[in-house]
Amino acid sequence: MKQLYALLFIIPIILYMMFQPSYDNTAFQRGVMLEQELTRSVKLVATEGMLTTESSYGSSSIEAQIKSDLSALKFDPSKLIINSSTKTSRIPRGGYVDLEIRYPIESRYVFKNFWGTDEQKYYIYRATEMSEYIP
Amino acid sequence: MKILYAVLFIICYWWLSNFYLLESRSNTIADQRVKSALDIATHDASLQLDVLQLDQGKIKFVPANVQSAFLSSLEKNLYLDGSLNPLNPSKNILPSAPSVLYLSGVDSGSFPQVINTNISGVPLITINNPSVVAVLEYTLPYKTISGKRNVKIVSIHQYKGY
Repeated sequence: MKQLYALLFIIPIILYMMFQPSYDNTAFQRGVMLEQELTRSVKLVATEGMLTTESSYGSSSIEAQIKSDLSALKFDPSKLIINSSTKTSRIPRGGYVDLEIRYPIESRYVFKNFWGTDEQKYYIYRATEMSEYIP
Repeated sequence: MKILYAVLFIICYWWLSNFYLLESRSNTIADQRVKSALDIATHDASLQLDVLQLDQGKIKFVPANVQSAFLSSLEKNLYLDGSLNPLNPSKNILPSAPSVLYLSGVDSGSFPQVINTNISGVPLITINNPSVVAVLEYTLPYKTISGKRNVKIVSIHQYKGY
């Protein structure tokens, strides 16, 4: 019986030690992908002077492009939150445009909500760049 | 008792190696973020052109504006104050202030041009067009091995076709 208790005590530790590094690595890699997408997209926002949300002249909006790129990398577009202070009007050259991407961090731990205290956390990435848009 | 010691050793070893791995990843994120911020800063600095010269088809940077736009952009993207110190050192990706070792808007002379920054560890930089060139240095700590890493990165923003 003692051995069974010892085994029950040790098994979760072993499982944690075996699989937690993979979870950490996945969370890290997904963060890197989101940040790379942000860096690429903020340049588009700077060129356009705003975060475009509607397609124009046959090209898709920047928001749609971000969602499409990230869904190809197995992110769920419905959970993606894309913010910018320049969604309504174009900022002319010399002003600053910004972009923020938020996405919930999924599967951070092997034992999800083990202590019942886990809170939903988000990847939050922001970038600000000078606009290149000439009216 | 031997088994207990063995288990404790394995747990300590795993914890230390995992912590080192996490710290390395955090530093990789810092490298990526600082490089992106520096690229954005050189981009913003390169927009500071003399409009009158631009009308004549010439690229001429306004040095004072280049510097202020560059620093302002770095402050915004790396969350730094006016003297480049982190606003919240315990939470900032950079725990200490980065230093701008070189910043120049190169718009004269013949191209391609080789720039010697005279900074150790930075190779000669070749530019083919008028450009803004910047070299930034920052330090990242490695707490698990009680060490630190100095990094110097270069960013160039060129006007192609001029």
